[in-house]
Amino acid sequence: MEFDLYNIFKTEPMNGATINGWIPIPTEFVAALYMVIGIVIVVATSYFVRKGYAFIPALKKSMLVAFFCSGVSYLVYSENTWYGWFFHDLKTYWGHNSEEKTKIFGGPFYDLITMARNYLGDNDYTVYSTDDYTRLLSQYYLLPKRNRADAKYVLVLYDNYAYYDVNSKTFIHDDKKIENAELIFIYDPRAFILRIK
Amino acid sequence: MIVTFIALIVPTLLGFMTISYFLHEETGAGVLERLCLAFPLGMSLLTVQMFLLALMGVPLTLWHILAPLMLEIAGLYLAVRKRRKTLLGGISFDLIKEIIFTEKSWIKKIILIVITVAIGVKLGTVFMETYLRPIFAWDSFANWSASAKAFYYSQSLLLNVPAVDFFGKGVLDRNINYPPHNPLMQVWLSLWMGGFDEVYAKFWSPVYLLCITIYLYLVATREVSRLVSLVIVALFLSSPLIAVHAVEPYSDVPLSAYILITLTAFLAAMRGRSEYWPVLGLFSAAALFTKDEATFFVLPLMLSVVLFLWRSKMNKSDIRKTILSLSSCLLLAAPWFVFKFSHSLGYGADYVTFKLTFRPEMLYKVASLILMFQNFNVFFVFFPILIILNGRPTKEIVYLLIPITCFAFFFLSLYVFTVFFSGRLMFNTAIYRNFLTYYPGICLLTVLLVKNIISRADIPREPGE
Repeated sequence: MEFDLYNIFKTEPMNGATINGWIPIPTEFVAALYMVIGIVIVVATSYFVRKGYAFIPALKKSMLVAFFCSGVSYLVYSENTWYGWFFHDLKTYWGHNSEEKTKIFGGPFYDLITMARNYLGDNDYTVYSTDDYTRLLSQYYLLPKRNRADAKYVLVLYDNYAYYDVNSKTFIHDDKKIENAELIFIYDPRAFILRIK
Repeated sequence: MIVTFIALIVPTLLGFMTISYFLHEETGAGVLERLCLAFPLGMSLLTVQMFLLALMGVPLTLWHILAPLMLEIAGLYLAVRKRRKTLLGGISFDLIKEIIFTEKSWIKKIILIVITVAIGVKLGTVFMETYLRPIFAWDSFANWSASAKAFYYSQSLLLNVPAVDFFGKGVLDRNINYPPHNPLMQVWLSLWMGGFDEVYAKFWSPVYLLCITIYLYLVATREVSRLVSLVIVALFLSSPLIAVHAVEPYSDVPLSAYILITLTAFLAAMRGRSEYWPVLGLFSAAALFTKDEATFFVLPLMLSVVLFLWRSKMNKSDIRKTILSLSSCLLLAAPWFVFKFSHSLGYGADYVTFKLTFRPEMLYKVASLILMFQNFNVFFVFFPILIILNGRPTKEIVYLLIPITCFAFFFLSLYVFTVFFSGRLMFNTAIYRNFLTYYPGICLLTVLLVKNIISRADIPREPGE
């Protein structure tokens, strides 16, 4: 976004993603906040000097006024994003139980994991996924079943290096080759479960 | 929902009895203030006990945990009654009284009402948001909730298992170096619900924020006017990062609560309320059992305490008594550290490397992130300005600044001197999370600075001066 003071009126609600651990604020708003601070300091200092304060105490008091004024400006902006997020979630999740909420959050991926859970029974599994988030989330949802090397079941979730040959019943991942791998569930060509005989 | 409420009330009761026992001669801490201390303390006492039970091989079932807890609550109740102290007493509604009766100005009345409502609504939406969303952030489920699930299903801390699974090592990318306070809180809630629930397992998180908010307000009202206290609390709550973290099962908000409470306990103790020394010890121990980095706050805090005692006019016997009460309460964290060191567990995530480097440009990066007002309202920008404006600081402020400054410098050194923190993608996350842990502490110090500046600057010069 190019620098434009008009942009401070186009705030977007926070998205809640924490991979960056912060909520970005447009440069325009930061500039506006510094302007508020500057103007308040000048105006308040002049006011306090006229009221009979010496310059330094007047400056100190005006700094406090600037702190509260800029703080309240930030608050208005920040709460706008918070309530945007809140009302969005209210529409999305209200009226559902915990399982349904997790399903809404996880989307089709959660459906896949729910099906995988049934196929795995009480058994542990080995998961293959190129994407770390997919791997972690699948392991999390599948607990207490555990991801272990050389488990009886193989769970392939969109792994770029995994290949399964239906005819020879062979699963290949990098240098690893597993024979007698029976396809027991296929969600789509890149997400499936194998049972090692 | 009711079961979750009961699960939160039980440790609050334990904490309330404990705090009422220690603050038995304290008249300044009212019911609300003790309740704010009760929940964070009770949760720590509970999880330390769960940890000890698990170490002894006792299965982590509801009754195994609840039975000793109820005995302790009953015992503490009797001990408090024996000291002839009123547990609840009269609950004061000073804010409501001020709005309805004391305050004459209508404008001020309206402002007080608006800010109070805004704070209430914000806290309400944080609770609602916790209720609306299942656990959603990858680092909260990978670092904390996965362990909680594994502990819950195994009814143990996975200590008597093959090495690959020890202490949940094989679960996701769990970092076994981390203290188990957070996962054990989730286990406790799950035990009450009879299953691991993606929504309710994390309901302790907003309660920590509630306690921080009310406690900060109560402490602030002792220093500055009610209006200023309310505004500072509203500004504090406007941090989007603390709201996000209070919705998810992260450990940063609990740690920030413990840091705030230790600082206020130290402040009260410095002002001659010696009942707060053991409280300081208890909450320091609770911080140590919450996150690894708390060590680098508690050590300078203890250094500051020693400096204070050394320079105080207390006699030797009182100093000895103070050190004894403080250090005996600190022992609450001892089981964790004995376990940690006896099993050669390290500090921080196990993927963090401590290869050294020197990148002073990181200081510029940290400064630029803070100067852009991201995440923490204007507190971190104004804090150094307020310190300068304050002029010669009071001894109280100096002693409180020592642990906070050392803690901040510890993190800065990590960013500047280690390859991992100076070069990784997660850099912004690390910075903001680290700031978050002492953000309420900074708000407390801001209150003290505002009080000093107002009192020193509030004298107009005489005509003709």
